[in-house]
Amino acid sequence: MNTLDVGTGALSRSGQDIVIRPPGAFAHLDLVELWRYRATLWRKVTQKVRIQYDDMWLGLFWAVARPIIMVLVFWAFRDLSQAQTGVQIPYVLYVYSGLVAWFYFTEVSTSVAMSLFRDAGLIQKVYFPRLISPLSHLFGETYTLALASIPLVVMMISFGEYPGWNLLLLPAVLVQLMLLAFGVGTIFSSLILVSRDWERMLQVSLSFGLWVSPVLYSVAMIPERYARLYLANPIGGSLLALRAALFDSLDFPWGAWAYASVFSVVLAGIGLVMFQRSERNLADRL
Amino acid sequence: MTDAISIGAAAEPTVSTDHPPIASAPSPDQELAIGVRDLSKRYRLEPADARAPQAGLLQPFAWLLRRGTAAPGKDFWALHGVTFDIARGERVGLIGRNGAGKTTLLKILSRIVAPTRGEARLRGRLTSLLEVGTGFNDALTGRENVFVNASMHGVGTAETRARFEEIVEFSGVDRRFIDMRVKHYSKGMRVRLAFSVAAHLDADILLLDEVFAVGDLAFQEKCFERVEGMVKTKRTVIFVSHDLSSVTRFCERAIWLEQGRILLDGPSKEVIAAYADEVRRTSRARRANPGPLAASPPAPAPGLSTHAEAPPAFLGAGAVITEPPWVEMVTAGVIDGHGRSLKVATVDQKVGIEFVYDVLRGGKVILPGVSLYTADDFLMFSAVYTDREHMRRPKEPGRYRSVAWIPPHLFNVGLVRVTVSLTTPASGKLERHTLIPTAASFEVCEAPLGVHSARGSYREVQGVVRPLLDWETIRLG
Repeated sequence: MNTLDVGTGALSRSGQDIVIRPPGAFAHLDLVELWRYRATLWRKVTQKVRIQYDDMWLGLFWAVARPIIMVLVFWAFRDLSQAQTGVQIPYVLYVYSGLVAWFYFTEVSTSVAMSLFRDAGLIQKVYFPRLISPLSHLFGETYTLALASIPLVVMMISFGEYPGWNLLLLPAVLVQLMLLAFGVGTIFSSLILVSRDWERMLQVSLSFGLWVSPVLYSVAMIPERYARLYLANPIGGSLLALRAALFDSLDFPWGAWAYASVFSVVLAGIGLVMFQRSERNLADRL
Repeated sequence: MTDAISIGAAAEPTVSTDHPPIASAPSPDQELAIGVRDLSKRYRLEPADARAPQAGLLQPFAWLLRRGTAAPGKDFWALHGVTFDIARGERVGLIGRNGAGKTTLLKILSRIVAPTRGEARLRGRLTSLLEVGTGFNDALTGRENVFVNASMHGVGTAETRARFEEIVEFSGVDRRFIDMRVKHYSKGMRVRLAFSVAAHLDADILLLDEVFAVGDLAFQEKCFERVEGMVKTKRTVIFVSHDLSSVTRFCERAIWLEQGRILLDGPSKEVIAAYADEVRRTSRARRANPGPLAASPPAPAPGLSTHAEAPPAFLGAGAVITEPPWVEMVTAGVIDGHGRSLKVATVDQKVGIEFVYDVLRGGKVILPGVSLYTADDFLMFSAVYTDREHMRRPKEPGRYRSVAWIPPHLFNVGLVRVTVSLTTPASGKLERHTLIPTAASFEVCEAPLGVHSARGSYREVQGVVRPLLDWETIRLG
C-alpha cells in the first residue's frame, strides 16, 4: 500500500499523488496531466466555438465571408489591372487557400496571445493545467479553419484542381502551422502581460505580414536575389507547403518547409518557457 | 516521528513560545492525505519604480537594462519552512492573524501559486470552496457552465452528467432556466448554481473558507448542511476561519500560523485557547501602550471603571471589605465535569467555577458568589450560593472548596471572565470578605459537529447568553 512515509521527512513515491514543488527554470510539459484534463480542454474548446458562433449556419457564413470577400476583391483587382501574380493554378484557388491559412495563423496567434490576459482572473483563482488556456484557442480556431475549408473543396472540384500524393503531408504542414502560431502567440502572451503595447505590435506585424507572405501573389514574383531573404519568413515555407499538399501541379518546397518546421519548433519551445514564467508571475501577483 | 510539539522553533520574539507541548501529527499507521515539508513562499516586493509606465514596449526587457543598477526588490516570506502532515479524514482548522500565511498556504495547496521551496504532496482530488463561481461564463447556458466548471475541477463529463440532476436540484435554480444563458440569471441564481457544482464534486480533500455560505438564509442553511455532510464522510478538510468557534465546530485539530511559520499545531481547543490568549495579550498591550500614531485613549468617564483599575460592583454597591481578613481565597478557577482545569469550553459542556478558600475565623456565614462578564465587560449574570441550609449555618475555621456548576447550553460563544467573591449576608447590607475581579477566564466555542445546539443552522446567534430552549409549536387553526 502506498502510504506517505511520515517522520523521515521524505514522502514515498506514488503515481496518484499530486506533488507540489518549486518550478524549474525551464518549461515543464506534463502531458499525462494534460490528458487527465482533456475534458476541461474539450469544454473550453466547445465553449469558445459556442461563444463565437451563436448560430451554427451563421457561423459557417462568418467563417467563410472574410476570405471570400477578399478573394473577390483581389480577383477583380487582378483582372482589371492585368497585374502579374506569377500564380500557376487558378488565382481564386491560390488566394483562397492562402487566405484561409493566413487568417487561421493570425486568429490563433492573436487569441493565444490574449489568452493569459483574458484568463488572468481564472488563473489567480482556480487550478487547471495552464496550457489549456492557449490550447483551447488553438483548437477552437481550427474549427473555423475546417468551416472555411468547405468552400475550398467545392472550388477545387469545380476548377478540376486535385491533390496528389503530397496530400499525405497536409497533416504535418498543419501541425507545423499550428506550432508556429502557438509559438508566436505564447511569446506575445507573456509580453502583453507586461505591456499592452505588445498587443498593438502584434496586430501591426500581422497586417504587415500579409504583404510579405505569399498569400496574394506567388514567390515567383520575388526577384531571385531576395528570394532567400523573403523565405526567412517561416510563414512563406508553410504556405508554399500547404498549397503543394493541396494542388498536385505545385512542387513541394522541401527546403523552405524544413526551415519553417525547425523555426516553428524552436519558437514554440521559447513560447512555452515564456508562457509558463508569465503564468507563474501572474499568480504571484498579490 | 515527533509526536509532540510543533511550536515554531524560530518564532518571532513578540510571540510567546511557552505553550504546553501538544500532541499533533497523526500516528504513522494512518494514511496521509496531505504531507507538507519545509514549504516556503517568497514574494518579491518590487521597488516602486519597477512598474513605471514609460517603458512601454521595452518593459518586458527592463530587467536586462536594469540589471545591477537598480536596488533589488525586498523579499517577503509569506510562508517559511512549514511542515505538517494531515491524515485522511482529519479536519484541520487554520488560524492566525491576517497576513500570517493562511491564504498563501491554501493557494499553494490548491496549486494556484507555486512554492519557492519545499514540497507538498496531496493524495486524491482536492476541491476548494474558496472561489465559488469563478469561471462561470455569461455567454454559456447554466447547463454548459455546470459542465465547464466541473471539468475545471477535474471531473469528467460522464461523472458530471450522472450528478447533474442533483446539482440543479440542490441549487434550486428553476429547471426552465437551466438551458438559458447565465447572463440572464440573477446574481443569487448564479451563486447558488456555482456553489452547488462545487459542493457536489466528490473531493477527497476539501479546502473551505469561512465564507462558504452564499445566497439567502434558506440556501445558507442548505450549504451548512451540505458542508457538514461532506465533512462527516471521512473527508480531509482544511478550514480557514477568523471565527474561532467555527473552527472548533468543524475541526478536531488546528494549526496556528504566525508570520509564515507554524506556531502551534494540536487539538483545536488547546490551540485556540493559546491563540485567544495571545490575541488578548497583544490587544491589551496595544491598548496599554499605543503607538505614536494612535490617539491617546479616552479618559474613563467618571463613575465608570474598568476592571483593570477598580473591581466592578458585585451584588450592588455598599458592600464593605472586612478588615482584618475573615477569609482568604486560596485558588479560584474553571473546571470541566471531570474536575480538570478548563480554558476552552464547548457550548454543550458543563462548566464549574471552583473556589478553594480558608476561613480564618469562625462564626460567620460565608457565601461564595460568582459574576460572569463578557469580553467587553458586560455583566452576564451574578449568582450566589442559595442553599438554605448553607445560608444559615456559620462556617467553622478551615479550608473549603465550593463549585458552582453552570449547566450546558447557557453561554454564547466568546470569552467569559469570571469574578469570584466571598461574602456574608448581614442585615441591610452585604459584608464582603474578598473579591477577585479576574479570577479566571475561559473561551466558549461552538459544539463539535453533530451536537444539537441553540445555534441551529445559523452561523451565529446574537446575545450575551445562548440558552437551548424547549420549543413547542402547535397549530391553532
